[in-house]
Amino acid sequence: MKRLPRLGIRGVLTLATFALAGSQACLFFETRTPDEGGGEESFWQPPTSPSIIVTNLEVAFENEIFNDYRRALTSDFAFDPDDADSFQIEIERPGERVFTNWTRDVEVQVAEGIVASAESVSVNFEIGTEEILGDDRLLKKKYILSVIAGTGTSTFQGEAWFYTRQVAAGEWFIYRWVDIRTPSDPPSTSWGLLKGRSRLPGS
Amino acid sequence: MSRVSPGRFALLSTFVFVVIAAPLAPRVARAETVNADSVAAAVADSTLAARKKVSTNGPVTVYEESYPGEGIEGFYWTFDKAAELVRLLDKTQRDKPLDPLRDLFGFDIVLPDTIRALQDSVRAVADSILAVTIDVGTGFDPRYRSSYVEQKDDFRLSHDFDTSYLLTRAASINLVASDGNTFNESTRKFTHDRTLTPSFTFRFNDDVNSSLSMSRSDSRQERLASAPGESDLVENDADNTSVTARIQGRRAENRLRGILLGDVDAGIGLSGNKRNYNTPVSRGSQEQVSPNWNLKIARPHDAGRFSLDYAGDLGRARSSETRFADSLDVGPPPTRDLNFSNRFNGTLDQTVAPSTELRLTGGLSRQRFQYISQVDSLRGRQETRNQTSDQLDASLTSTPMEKLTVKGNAGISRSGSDYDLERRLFSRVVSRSADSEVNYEPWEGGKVIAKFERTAEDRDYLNLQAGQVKARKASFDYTQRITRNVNLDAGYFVKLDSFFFDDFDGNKGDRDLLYERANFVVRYTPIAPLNTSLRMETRQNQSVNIHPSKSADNKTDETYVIEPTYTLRVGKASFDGGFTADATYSVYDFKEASNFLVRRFATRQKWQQAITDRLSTETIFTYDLNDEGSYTRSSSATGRLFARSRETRRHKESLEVRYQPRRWLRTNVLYRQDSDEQFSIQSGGKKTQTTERDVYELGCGINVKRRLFKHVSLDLDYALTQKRGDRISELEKRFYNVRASIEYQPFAKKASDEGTVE
Repeated sequence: MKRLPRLGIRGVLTLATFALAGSQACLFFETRTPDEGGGEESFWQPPTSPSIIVTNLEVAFENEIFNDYRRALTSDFAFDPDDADSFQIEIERPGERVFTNWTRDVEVQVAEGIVASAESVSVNFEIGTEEILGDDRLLKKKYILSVIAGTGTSTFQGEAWFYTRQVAAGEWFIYRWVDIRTPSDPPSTSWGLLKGRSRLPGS
Repeated sequence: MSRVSPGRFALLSTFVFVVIAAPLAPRVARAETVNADSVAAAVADSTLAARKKVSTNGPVTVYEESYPGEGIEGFYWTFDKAAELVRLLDKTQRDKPLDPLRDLFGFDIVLPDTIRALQDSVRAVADSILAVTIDVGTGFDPRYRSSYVEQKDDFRLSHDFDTSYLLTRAASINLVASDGNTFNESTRKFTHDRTLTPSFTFRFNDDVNSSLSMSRSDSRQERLASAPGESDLVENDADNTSVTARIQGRRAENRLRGILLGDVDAGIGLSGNKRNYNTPVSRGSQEQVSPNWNLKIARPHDAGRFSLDYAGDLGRARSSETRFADSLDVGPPPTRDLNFSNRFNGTLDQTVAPSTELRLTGGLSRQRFQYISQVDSLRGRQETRNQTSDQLDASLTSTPMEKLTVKGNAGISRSGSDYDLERRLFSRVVSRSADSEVNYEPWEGGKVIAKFERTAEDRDYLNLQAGQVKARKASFDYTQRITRNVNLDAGYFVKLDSFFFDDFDGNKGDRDLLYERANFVVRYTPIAPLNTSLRMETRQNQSVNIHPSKSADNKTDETYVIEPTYTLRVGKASFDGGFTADATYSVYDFKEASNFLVRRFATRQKWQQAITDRLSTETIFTYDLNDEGSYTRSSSATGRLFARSRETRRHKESLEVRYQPRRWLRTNVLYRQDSDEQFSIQSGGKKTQTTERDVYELGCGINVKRRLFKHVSLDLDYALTQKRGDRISELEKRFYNVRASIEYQPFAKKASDEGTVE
């Protein structure tokens, strides 16, 4: 029977290092044990179409499920405000460059902050339109956001443009969100302006 | 189907291949150098000379791969950082769009993210150099450029003019002017921006320059009326006038009492500006005078180098604002503001041992800024914002033996913001991070990269978001040339993000998010024109909400993917395609009835054909079939069953014909068809169609890049697209994509060879 060539000392050390590292690595990546709840609905639907991922985002925001809110966004997610809101924020918070480098983590943290400062929030997206952009889809939806706090209800209106693309298993995710200020009577502020006012320094 | 966790999958597959591959490696003839990341800022000329060049735009060059899997997206990329920096520092080249990269059939190649990131980093360096550079210029060289861009419903028109005139060899006057308009038909937003900047520069000697400049800019944003009876609305209107004077000097190898201080760069300046703005709710102005200064010392020493950077400024300002509340003008008294900023940065580079480099960097920043607050307060309207930032980083790179490199980084930073009036914006964030990386080539043709990273952030806020965020990441990548025709890549990645909020019941968002991925890819080239690969991957995404009111949504998504692909070159034709089968199981911790399964089968086939040197075609066909449904067990004693509830079928076809009658002229015609159908599935397997959508698209385009006259050049990209089908918006039925620019440079020193007469 033909003998297999020896690995050599470097090969043995390499294999041993991999095995040791692999066995110990699991200890660093254990999750916590949650407290079991009961009776609530679960909200996430497999996002097999662009409209479903927007619904998942909406429902996650209203129900404060920020793991799901984050999952609806891609890792290269970016948010672009209306130019008028960007100008307004520069007046209110000069020199802070609030809308610069608006990543997925920033988006989730700001959404948490908006919800944490309110008793409840409610978002209503109109049906809107869907455009084909090569392999991607652009959904344009008018929205009304209601933030209910102890001092009353604040309403924010505008139009949201969600750029979505398909990732593995045919699922759609949002990679860009553009907020558009729209005229309304009486005049109201947009969700983008609310986000700009809610972002904490250093985030 | 029994499921294997990504971690076990990765260890098992890597172990098997390492054991099999390692003994084979010494038998392989010495392989050519493997460049695992396929991006070389300076690749040995002998390696590149042997490669077949596909396309270049100057800084970025694309070659064919020497073996499958060597590069990215089927190509080997190089990026010349030095050439890109030179281009960006040349104001006549900086804003010119680079030539597109095209494959051997003339179709566009998309830049990978790694190249884009390198371009962005070089641009950041160029911007920082230009910000402190005073350039006297080289003579009278006026340049005028107009450009027009139309993309569907978005329109942009801009005009730019710049010139410099040498008064003497040491003095020049410069003028930059720009005017731009944008309009979006859907949002009805119109903007107009104008800037005029005359400046005077004077060079005292080779080491000392000075400049005096004035700048005036106006901007206006409106929403135009979209219906009869509506009126245009000015959303904002602003102007800014500034004057800046600056002296910048440099002196090398300074000594103090015989002690070498090092190279010194220093500058001092004075700027003044006045800004006015109008919005529908307020009108305001600000005037500021601000001296500023900077100092940089760089000193080499034995086996190292030290540098210190300091920049500061002090500003006196006066701000006033009137808010339009109801029908009354409400105006607080103007505020007198005092602002300052000081920033220190230090860097120490040291060779601590043979093949071991250490770098320490530290920074300190203190800023104070005053302005008119939008918050009504009994304490008045002047807001004072104090910002602090401290940071310390250390990195070590060592090559203790041949083919082994170890890198380690550690850092700590602290930042904070304090506000006198808007206390809710208070923040203190302390971050700590450490990461390490090992690059090892244990045997010929093999390479291992192992990384580990840990970060922790303490967030102190005056709201429920105060808490901690911790992240841990680890990855392991193994590459092995098994034979000349067989290549293996295996990888494992795991990341855990944990959020802890100080008020567990007030903010119910405590959560963990665990992501694991393991994959391996085998590439095989049985004969020269045919490349094949097989990719298998498993991913696990575990979402854990800790609070009982949120834990109902805890779930684990497990995805399994298998994907064979091929590329075949036959004469002037290229075929490539792939088949993908994947499945995602969503299993809830506490809600068995909500479990879900999504399955997909997809294929993509592409055929590129060069008919002549000037005529080529590209045909693409894709087909997607996916179904989904519940994945639950009826009792704890039984396995889970998949009950299909929906099926989606989608197919797309496209055909593009490209014709290039001249080197400076390209035309193309594109036809696309996109169809999808959805079915709901009832018990018993009966399918009912719920939606059907067909979209047809026809487009044509022309691209011209040519020098029209000796000093006039044209760059034009024009495409017309028409769509028909279900649920197509009016905007999509017919639209143009146009990009055109024309440039006039009467005293250009050399003519470009673009589009010269053949």
